[in-house]
Amino acid sequence: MQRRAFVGTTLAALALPLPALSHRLRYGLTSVVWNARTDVLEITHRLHVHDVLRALVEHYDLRNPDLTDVRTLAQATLYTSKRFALIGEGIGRLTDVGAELAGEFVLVFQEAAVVSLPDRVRVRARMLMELFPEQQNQVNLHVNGVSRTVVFGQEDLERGVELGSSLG
Amino acid sequence: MQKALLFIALVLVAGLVAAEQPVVDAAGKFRQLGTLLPTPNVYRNAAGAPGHGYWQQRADYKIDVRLDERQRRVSASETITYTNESPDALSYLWLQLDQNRFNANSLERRSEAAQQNSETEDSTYSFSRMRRDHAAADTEYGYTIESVKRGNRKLPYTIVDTMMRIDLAEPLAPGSEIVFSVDWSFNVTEQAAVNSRGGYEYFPETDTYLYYLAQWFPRLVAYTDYTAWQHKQFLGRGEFTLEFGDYEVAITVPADHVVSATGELMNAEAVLSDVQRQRLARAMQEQRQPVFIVTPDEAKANEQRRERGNKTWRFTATNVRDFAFASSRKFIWDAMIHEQDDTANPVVLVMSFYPTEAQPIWSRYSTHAVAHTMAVYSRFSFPYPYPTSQSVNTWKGGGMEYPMITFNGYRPELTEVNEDDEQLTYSRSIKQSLIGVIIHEVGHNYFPMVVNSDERQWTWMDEGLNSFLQYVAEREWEENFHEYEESQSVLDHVIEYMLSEKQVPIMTQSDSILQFGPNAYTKPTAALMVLRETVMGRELFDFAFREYARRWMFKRPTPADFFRTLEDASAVDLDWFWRGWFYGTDHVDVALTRVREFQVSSQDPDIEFAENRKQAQREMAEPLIQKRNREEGRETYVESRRELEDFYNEHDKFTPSNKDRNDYREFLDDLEDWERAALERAVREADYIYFVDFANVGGLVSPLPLAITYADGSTGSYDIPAEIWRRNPDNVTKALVSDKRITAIELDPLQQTADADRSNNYFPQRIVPSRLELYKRDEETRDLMADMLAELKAEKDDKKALPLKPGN
Repeated sequence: MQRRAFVGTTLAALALPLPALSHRLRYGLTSVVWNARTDVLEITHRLHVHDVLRALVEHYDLRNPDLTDVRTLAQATLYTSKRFALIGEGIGRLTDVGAELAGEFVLVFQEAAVVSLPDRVRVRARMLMELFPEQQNQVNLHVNGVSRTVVFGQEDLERGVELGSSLG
Repeated sequence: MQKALLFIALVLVAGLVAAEQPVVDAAGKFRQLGTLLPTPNVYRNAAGAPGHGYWQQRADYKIDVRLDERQRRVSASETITYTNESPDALSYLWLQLDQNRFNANSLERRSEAAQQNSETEDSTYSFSRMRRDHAAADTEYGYTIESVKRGNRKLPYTIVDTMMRIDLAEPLAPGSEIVFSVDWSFNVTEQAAVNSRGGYEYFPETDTYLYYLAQWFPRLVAYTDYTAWQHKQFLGRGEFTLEFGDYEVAITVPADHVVSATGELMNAEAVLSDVQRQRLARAMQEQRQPVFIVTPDEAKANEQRRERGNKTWRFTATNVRDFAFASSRKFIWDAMIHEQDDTANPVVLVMSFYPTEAQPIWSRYSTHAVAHTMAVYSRFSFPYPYPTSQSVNTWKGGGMEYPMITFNGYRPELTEVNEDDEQLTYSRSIKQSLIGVIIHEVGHNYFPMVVNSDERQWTWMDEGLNSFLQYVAEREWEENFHEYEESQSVLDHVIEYMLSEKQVPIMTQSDSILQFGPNAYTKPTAALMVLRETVMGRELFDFAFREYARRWMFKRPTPADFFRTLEDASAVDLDWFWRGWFYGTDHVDVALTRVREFQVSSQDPDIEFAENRKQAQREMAEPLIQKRNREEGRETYVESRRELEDFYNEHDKFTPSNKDRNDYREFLDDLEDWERAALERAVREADYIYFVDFANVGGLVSPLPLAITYADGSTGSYDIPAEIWRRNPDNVTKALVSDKRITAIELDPLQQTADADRSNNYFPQRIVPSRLELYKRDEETRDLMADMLAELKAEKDDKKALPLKPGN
């Protein structure tokens, strides 16, 4: 059976494009840091506040979301965590910790217990992709003094990251 | 802290430190930029200034443009006078046709990849993409070129996507000019559908439109000494570099429209009412509060009107590199003046234009933000050189810059006050974003609208320098701007980007930049903050930066001109800084690895040995078995037979012998008189000598500002310049001499170097909690959030999804 070009897909949101901004580019930054003291992978997502507000309007049908409100921050946490995954042998399930407003940005926190550090992890970071065609999400993994970076654009679904011997 | 008595004279300390720092990779990080920079020439000299043979082209425009509101189409006749100031004969000219980017067959559209769903792993076709494609299917976008003529003779032309080549019958000789005309038209894009920098916005509640025309007319491609024609196709990201020229533009619009445009309005009597002109005259006297030229009530009334006929607004602009305008019957218009210390241009008319939907925040802040921007930027560069500066609200968020006119976003949101009532309110975030974007876009009037750098090649030269000054201006607008926490400075913000693995240097051509925002905006801002506040200091930096701006005012600088000027005007060798921050991808992470404490020893065994004994007792614990034996009252064999004791039971190794005393006398005899005097003084003053070890973990060499705490509770600071790394960029030791004992040292206490890991910045070591740990420490927030997350997870999402099914 021949299928149409947009076969078998659903769309997450009714997305109205924002202006072609020359000066605020669609860019999310996630850091994954292994805290050796606690044996926890600490995940911090940094997203621009206006982009998060837009996502909340679209996904939670909010008229005017207020990111000083704990419920709205929790919604921002869930919105983000649904679009981020980090999977590796010995790494526990990601737990949502919460979110906070930090200047122009919203920081969303997740964490995962580490039983043993794997050589390789799989990462997915699709935050805001459904809203902004030009959105890029960068994920930095910092383990044992070594940094690995993966960048997600519209075409990138899931990426494998070799951490190898850096994990010790 | 290690405590030992130094048995060498103070004068030898320097030799010791040097011996600990082998020359490793000395040339690398401090190597002069040399061949990385283009060789100075007659166009750009070695000081970073325009050379004696500097030239640039010139393009003057006369444009008659008409807006057909019913068709939402503009058409124009354009006459261009192009002057070839280059030493080259030009057999053809290139024009930019930016509107062609929106054509369904443009290079940008054809090279676009499919979108992917953010939650699933499927390809997707979004509402927004569908809307844009519907718009392109319903309306043909891109230029219709009616004619290209020189006098009455047609000129042959070839369109290559967003560029048009015009072939000349004979080459345009150096020093000569050509006058030619282009007639053209295009359908105005619906900005929200097409995601363009200009277009129109439709307001369904009032059935009204707001037009803002940018990159709307065929413009000469820049022809330069460093790249000839700058005609890389316009793909939507790398913006522009253009030629300066004078403009006369006649804009014909519906009679009830108000027009804001680059330049000065030349026929106010023909397009404004008497009252409006009186108000404008009053605004020319007002520098404290803007005066409404069109009041909010009048703008609301205008929205209901539909006047027949048209009016033509005439504007002129001198020595600008572009022209833009906005037109609507919706505009509220306010104005005041900005006075500046400049005899050539003492007064600037500052204006804002915005629809009712932008109130109340726009009338309160927009015009003030424009005036504030000019006050700050002029201090760092030159007096604002144009007669007007305008801020137009054209969309909900973001901004875009053109000479004397900027299109800026952020509007308040409707908030439900109670069940039956709503009001427009704005959050702190909306307010600061509005002020921030206006500062940024108006700031672009300096960089690159006057200091005409080439954004299609080096984005950082205008976005980076402008973002730096925006950062300065925001913090001069009000304290704690865009900061809710202490860790929100740009130096903290840039760290995560600088830690990333796949960076490209700032000095990367625009279209090849990865992570465009952090690379072209944030990292240069951070670099210049470090340069100003830490490396050069404000006085030297501000002078050199201003010199760069003034040298290249109305000219076209390249990166080498910026680098060279800042060194030339300051006598500070910054090649290591450019190499590290602009040509490299290392980050700053310096570890304070060890501190050793010493005092100068007199070498006199009768004094020093006793001190040595005390220190040994402090540092070496008595063997546990010996201690407990004594506590048990156990008597040793020798204690029970005292006759077995001898010299060694009475004296330990710290008892001076005659040989020790003789050695001391010989040591003194061998010293020169000045050495002996120096030793006596050092012993008398009993200074402490510290060897502080640093390791360069991140690779980027950095100054080392230290905060020092002394045993008496007092504090001090010591700034080590980055040049300490010039012999060994990996490990260095600094000798510090203090008359007071040091108990703690902190590296980079003011967080002024973008140091990525602060946990290794302390002596004694400290445990620095992570951001997430800090968040979790607040138990109340943590518990509230946990409850809320649980509650929300139990709810069902209410998503709006475009339903798709397999095709038949």
